[in-house]
Amino acid sequence: MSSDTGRRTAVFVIAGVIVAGAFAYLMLGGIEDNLEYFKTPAELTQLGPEAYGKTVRLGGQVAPGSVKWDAASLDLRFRVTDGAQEIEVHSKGAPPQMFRDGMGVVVIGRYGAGKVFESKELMIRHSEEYRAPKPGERPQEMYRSLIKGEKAS
Amino acid sequence: MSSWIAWPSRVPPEVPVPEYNNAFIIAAFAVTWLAVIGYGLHLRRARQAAEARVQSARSALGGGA
Amino acid sequence: MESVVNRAATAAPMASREVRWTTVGVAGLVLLVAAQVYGVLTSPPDRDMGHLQKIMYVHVPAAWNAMLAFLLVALASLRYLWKGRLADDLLAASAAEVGMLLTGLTLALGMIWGKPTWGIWWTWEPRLTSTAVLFFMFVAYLILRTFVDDAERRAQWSAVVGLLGALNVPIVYMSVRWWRTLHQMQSSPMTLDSSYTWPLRANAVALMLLMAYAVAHRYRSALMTQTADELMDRLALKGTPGGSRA
Repeated sequence: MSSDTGRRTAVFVIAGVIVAGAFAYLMLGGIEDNLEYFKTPAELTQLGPEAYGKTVRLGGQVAPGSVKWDAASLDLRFRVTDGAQEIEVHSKGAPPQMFRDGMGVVVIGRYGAGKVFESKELMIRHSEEYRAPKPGERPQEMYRSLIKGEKAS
Repeated sequence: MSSWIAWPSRVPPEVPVPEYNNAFIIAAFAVTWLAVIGYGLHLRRARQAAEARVQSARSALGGGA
Repeated sequence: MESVVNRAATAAPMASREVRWTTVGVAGLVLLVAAQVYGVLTSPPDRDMGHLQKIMYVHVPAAWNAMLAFLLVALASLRYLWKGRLADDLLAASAAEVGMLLTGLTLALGMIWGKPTWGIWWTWEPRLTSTAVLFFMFVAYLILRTFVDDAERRAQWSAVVGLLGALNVPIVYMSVRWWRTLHQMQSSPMTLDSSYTWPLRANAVALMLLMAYAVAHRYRSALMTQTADELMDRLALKGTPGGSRA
């Protein structure tokens, strides 16, 4: 019986060590590359030529007033901003329906010497805010106008 | 907009929801109920198996003692 | 034979406990239907995502309750390692099964929600990845249990793996604050219109009742099986000559 209790204590101690070790590894370990899902415009600009030609993720807000949508060619141009720096983004195809001025986005693609980010994939990064539209405000206004433009062509 | 869910009148009628969004909403609720009902059936099966085991143990005990 | 006799003596209180748990389950089911109807009928469309906001009422409660279930796994596993009662191991296993189901549900609902809102079904960002790791750790936990025949050893190994798995819960929860993710941070009553908070709370409570019912039901089945197996083991030992060597 006493050896049974001793074994249980040993298992308890070993479990504690494993658990603490795993926790320390996850907290302090060098897995930061995977933990930073995207780069901000300021970070990408700072990297400069180092970032050219590589597939990277760029995240930020759609700069208000920067959206240019050509419905005929499904050509989308806008700027991504982090408040400090802006990067011009070029994308093909209709964006997700929540795309609008000021919305958070993450684009996957390449940044080149031409200072234009060629996006292959456009994702929406939603905020933690959920609001009913205020009187007079319509949800998904932007998407509606995009789709309308598409139909007009 | 024509929609296959009749959203109640509190929702402004002019909300521009793309037609296919309803499919995602329905799918989410359907998957949830599938999980609830499916796990309920699993619980019942586990209980039946346990009861059968207890029963056979009891009869073995009765025969042995 | 003591434990069996004890359990036979407690059969009557156990039956009444069973009735009480059934009440919890029925209440959970009724409340879930009511909360979903309430949410769908009264929530205005969100400014950005329109009616898709309603997926919150199933995705978020599933995630919260998965975390609660894993907290239960951690507590039961710790108590097993401390006291060595097999019943605690069975409680941990029951909660682990329910937690795994809810995590899988959270992932599935997140994908269904992500496609029309974010524009993608899945991506390897920290919140999604850590949730997937959490899910697969408990899949591994349940597979491990089927491989170990000896109840004591199964309980010891499971307690360690269960604790390791549950350790992922705070990581999953904090991932959106610690790291730069695609997934947004937790909403709070500050960032959520009141027309969304109450349906969300009602749905979360409903699923919590169902979660508690499921764990309790599964736990009792596991206890019954365990008791029956103990009984058979003793009979087998008695049956063989010199069987009292244990």
